[in-house]
Amino acid sequence: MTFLHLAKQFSISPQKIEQTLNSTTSWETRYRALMLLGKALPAFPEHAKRDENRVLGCESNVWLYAYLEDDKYYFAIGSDAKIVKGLIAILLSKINGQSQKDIIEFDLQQYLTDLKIFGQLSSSRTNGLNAIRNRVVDYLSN
Amino acid sequence: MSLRSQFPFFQQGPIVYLDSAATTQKPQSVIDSITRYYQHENTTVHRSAFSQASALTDKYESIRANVASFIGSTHAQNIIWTKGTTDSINLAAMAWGNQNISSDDLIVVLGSEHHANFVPWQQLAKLKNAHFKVVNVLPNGDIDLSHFESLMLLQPKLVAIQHCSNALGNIYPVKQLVERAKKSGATTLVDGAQAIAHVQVNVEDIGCDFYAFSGHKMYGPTGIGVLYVNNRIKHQLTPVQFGGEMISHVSIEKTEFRPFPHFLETGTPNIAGIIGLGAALEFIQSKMFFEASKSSASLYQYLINQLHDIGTVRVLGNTNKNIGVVSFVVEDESASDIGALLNEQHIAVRCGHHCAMPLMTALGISGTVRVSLGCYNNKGDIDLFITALNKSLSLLTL
Repeated sequence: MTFLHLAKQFSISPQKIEQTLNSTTSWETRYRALMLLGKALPAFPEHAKRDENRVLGCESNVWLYAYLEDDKYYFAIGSDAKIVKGLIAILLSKINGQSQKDIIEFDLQQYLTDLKIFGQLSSSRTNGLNAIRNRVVDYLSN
Repeated sequence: MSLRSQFPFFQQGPIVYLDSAATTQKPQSVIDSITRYYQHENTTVHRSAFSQASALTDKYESIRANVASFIGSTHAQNIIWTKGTTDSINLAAMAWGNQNISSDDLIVVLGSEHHANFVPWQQLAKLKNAHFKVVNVLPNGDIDLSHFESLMLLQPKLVAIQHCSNALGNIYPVKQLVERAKKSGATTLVDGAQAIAHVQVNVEDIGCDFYAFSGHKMYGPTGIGVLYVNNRIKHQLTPVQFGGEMISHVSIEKTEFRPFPHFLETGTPNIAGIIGLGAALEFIQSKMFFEASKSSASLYQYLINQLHDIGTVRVLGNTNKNIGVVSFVVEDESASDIGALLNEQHIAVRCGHHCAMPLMTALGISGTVRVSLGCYNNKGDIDLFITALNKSLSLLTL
């Protein structure tokens, strides 16, 4: 299977993300839900965890591959951290298979605030996800 | 009054602070000394003619003498004020290295170094076309002494070593390493950032040429640090920054510089930071601190034992010679996940590579969870941490 196929396999909708996170009532259940979303990411192959595809600026290891097909962009993103995988699922639900314009216009920070996943702590806990998004935007602009 | 009650940080709510290797909390006496300086003593040092300014200059210079004697040096003039350990090491690399490292010279550092004692030397070597070699570490983070010996046979010009590992807490045999390096004719620098609050430091006994440390890891303020320079090599240093405070005479034709260490202290110094450091020295030499430090070894052992009871936890480093830093990994879990879940439970630890990426690579890991103890920690903190860790691990494996 190619990476493009892997990237296209991702099929979690923003509605599903919102439903899953909105049904939580405590930080424990919120993190559980986030990790379950992460589990639904297509498995990222071990051999693809290479330095040249590493996203710098994350506390954990993150690797990213991007593809363009018919003016739509697809991303395969892997991480060794369960919570980060959940955050990646949130990001992918909004950008995977979208056009360059839609991806660049997507306001990640606002979306995370609306989802209320981290309460007061949003900026410190989402630095890694911002680094991933910046890598995506870099890719689109090159 | 208990020692912990001296720290206003702990009066603001439930937080278990286990990140003292990153920075220590400040006792009230340190905070008060800085406030008092700005409220009542605010003048500058060395230049003004009025009595408050000269009283302040006396106090400022007496703190320099106190710092010197605290680290076992008899000469106040061997102490240079810096912004912190990183600044101290960079200053050594520029004020000494620039003149004394040339093409094909060898610089040696340990494989466990914090980036602050690694990158400045690596970059200096690059600039000068010199060689840069790194001593291997053993699986427990200790130094591979036979590899160290083999590098000493190459007669390095500079050997820069960590006194204690910031990532693992290992205490290294600096006296032995410095002695061996000196036999090869090397100039030596010891990074004492992690040692200064935990180990009795005696620079004359160690025999090093430079010793660097920060105020903020010894209960003092941020933005103040020290570079100790041995008499032997004082004359080998040249100014790095130019301007006020470091000169004795300026004309259009030329400038004469003030004697060591002042020609390395350009501009108005961090007086408030130095006053705060003076108060931190008093705290760390108090009876109260001495009493608290007696129980630090047993608290560390208690933490190690509690962690050993969790089957999936693997504690790294040499736990027999340690300053009270516990770095661990958990089977199948990433440090960042554990850190995020501990954070939700108000436990402050550090997760990641701890600014020691070469060490992490050598150990074959990407990061650890680091728990580091300070004088204010107690058994209750450890119990809360272990409960929160168990809860985090069960959430991660549900």
